Amino acid sequence: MVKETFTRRDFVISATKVLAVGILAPAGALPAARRISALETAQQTPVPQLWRGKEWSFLIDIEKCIGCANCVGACKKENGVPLDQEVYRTWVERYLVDSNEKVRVDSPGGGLNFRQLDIKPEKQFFVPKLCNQCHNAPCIQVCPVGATYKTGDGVVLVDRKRCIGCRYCIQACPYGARFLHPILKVADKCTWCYHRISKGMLPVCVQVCPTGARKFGNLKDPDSEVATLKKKARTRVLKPDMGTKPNLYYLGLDEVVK
Amino acid sequence: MPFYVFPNEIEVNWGLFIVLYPYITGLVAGAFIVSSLYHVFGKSELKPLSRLSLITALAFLFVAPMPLLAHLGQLFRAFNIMFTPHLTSAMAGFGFIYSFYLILCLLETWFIYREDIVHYASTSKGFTKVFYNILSLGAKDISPTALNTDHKVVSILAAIGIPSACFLHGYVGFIFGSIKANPWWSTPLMPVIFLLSAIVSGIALLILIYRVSSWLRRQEMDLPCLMSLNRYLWVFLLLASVLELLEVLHMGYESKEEWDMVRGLLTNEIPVTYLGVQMGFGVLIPLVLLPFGRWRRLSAGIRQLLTIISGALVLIGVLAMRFNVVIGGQLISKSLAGYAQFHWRLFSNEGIIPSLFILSLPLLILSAMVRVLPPWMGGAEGPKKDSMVTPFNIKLQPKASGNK
Amino acid sequence: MQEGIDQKSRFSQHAVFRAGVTVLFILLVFAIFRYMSVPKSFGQYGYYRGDNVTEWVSMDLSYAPPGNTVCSKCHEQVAQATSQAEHNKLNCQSCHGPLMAHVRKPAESHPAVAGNAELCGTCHRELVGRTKEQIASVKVGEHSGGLDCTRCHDPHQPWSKIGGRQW
Repeated sequence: MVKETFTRRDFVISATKVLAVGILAPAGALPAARRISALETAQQTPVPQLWRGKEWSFLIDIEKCIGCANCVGACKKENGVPLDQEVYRTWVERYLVDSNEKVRVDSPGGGLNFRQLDIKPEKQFFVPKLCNQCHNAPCIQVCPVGATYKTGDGVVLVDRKRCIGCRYCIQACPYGARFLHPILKVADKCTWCYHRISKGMLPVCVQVCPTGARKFGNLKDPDSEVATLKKKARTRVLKPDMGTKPNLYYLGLDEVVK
Repeated sequence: MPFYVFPNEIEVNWGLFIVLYPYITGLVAGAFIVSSLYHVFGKSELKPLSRLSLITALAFLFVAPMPLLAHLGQLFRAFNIMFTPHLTSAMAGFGFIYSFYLILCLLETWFIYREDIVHYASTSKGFTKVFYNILSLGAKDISPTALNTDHKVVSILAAIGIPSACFLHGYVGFIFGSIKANPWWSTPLMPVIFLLSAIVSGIALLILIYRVSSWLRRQEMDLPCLMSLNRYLWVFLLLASVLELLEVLHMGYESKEEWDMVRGLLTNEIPVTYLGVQMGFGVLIPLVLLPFGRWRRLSAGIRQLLTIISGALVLIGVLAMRFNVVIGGQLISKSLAGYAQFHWRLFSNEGIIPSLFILSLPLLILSAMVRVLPPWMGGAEGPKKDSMVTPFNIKLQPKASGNK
Repeated sequence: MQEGIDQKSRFSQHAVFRAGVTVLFILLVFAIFRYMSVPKSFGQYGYYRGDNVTEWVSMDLSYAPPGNTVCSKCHEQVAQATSQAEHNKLNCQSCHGPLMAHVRKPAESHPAVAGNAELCGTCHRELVGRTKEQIASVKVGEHSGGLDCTRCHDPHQPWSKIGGRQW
């Protein structure tokens, strides 16, 4: 437990150590000093090396999602998306299919405000949505100024200093994953928490998911959970007919989901 | 039908300003093509409008980028579109196509007016003289040889201008037509539809401007000229509406997954602006009225009136068409399970009042331009040098002894 | 005197020349502006500003790194207790919220967590869409009568206070 007599400097040092240990926990018994410097270097890895041997991929297990929307709130807090505005980097949809095959879909507050309903659907499930980081991304194609692009490890990013805020990419995205940032007035969307994954952490939505419905990993690492599941499980992507080649896969996705 | 739109779709991203952009660009392209009908294709009955149509195109061209710029989230980065144009994006073409076309129109106008400019420069005094001198760029030679060169240059520029005008507006159609995510936009017909409706709106605009300017100048309209506009308007309107209907018919016949959404859009979400204003007032009524306007048994006054009413209806109809495409397309949720709501705003950013202001700007610019560069052509003779007819009581009469 | 009308003008006074020079001037100005405005790293890895990748990488965290290892360095007992009970797969920050500020300056930032039905209910209230097979869920009002969940359940060891698992 924390002792009261610690100075602030001590706190900073211990916190940094703690941080480094957290990140490098799998790396095992590195001396403390080297752990800290390892965090620093992780931040400063020059870009082409950063991408080497990496192809990020996201997988969602529909069966496991309980619609708590922990991911939605955490994403907004982590990524500076205004909490009180109707813009979402990730959101959770609720699908209720009744006996007449009638589908009822909702996502109030991106899933933060689901209400109990007085109905008994035949089929019920939640579908978390986020940017698909498409291989053939329409948003990149239509950006007039080269402000959005795909990194070498497979994530589509927006350059906030070059985006002109024309919103063409928002129109082009078939998944509704993009929006105009209400404060910055540039296009914004999920980055799969690029600042976290480049430092060996998980995207925050994956980290806070209580049921493990969201899985994230490196496809080029054959031992990663995502790579294993991708190999043996039956996965689907959203709107495959759009030819966008998403990099976000779903397990147990129903056909009513668009 | 379940009602669901993606959470990020609650705000309609492209508002009224983006409705105005293709509308104004279309008016430019249409007006320019009318001027080219005279300058390139030698349709002499359009001579009264040969200059007016060109500076009308120019006036609207000046305003065309304004709604776009006002719409940008980052106005001061607007030039990124020309500094680092991303060539796979249709929109990246805007900066270059627009600039090219603007320079072309300015050059054509300059060469057409050069003789007049030199004339004004030599017959006026003080500030006006300086102004016209600058405008002449120091090219003061108005010998017959020089004017002959001017004439040739104008023909070449006008000839280049036609494909450029088509390109300028066709590409605006492509901006929408190439968005596969949007079922109401995504069609290869879109550029053609946009281009044809652009020509339609340009002709209709000129009919109205001709009427208003004649009224202000207390001059009679030239009936053959008006009838010629009437004929072109009818033909292009027919072509445009056939393609617009073909697009919907094709979608309905194929009835793919997204047709239900498109049908719902047209019948439930935008029936007033689509079936009523765009198709009814904007197409059907003018298609019937215009031929009556050419019927020789009717009196000239009634024929003028029918043509002018049709022009006004078409102008409103094309605006509704732009609205139905730009806003209508965004109402269809990409979840294909519901429709977004468009909120009419009066004042704020892309509201009705600012939109009307932008729409009226080209007319203000035009009324200023006709004072500086009077476009009026006296019948088939062209401007008379010794008694320069100018509107609004601006006196530009040459004074024989005025030069030192 | 009508300038230029009677005398033969030099080429530099020709209209085409004057117009051409004006257009070239505009193009030159544009070229200079373009040269000055395009960032150095633009096009380094593709058609975008290369430096932007590092900008994203170095963005600040709100949620501390993963693995309850970070928290357990100081909060060892709680971490130990949690690891042996139902909530052992949860990340501390799933319930406690973003803690990076706390990790950096533990004394200054103490995020409080309300152990009430609103927090626990995000997962454990009955809701159309989630099933009993997926998660233990209750009608919150009937279940607790408005009391805080922590009156009976310790979130770190949900059944420890009331003598083990009851269902």
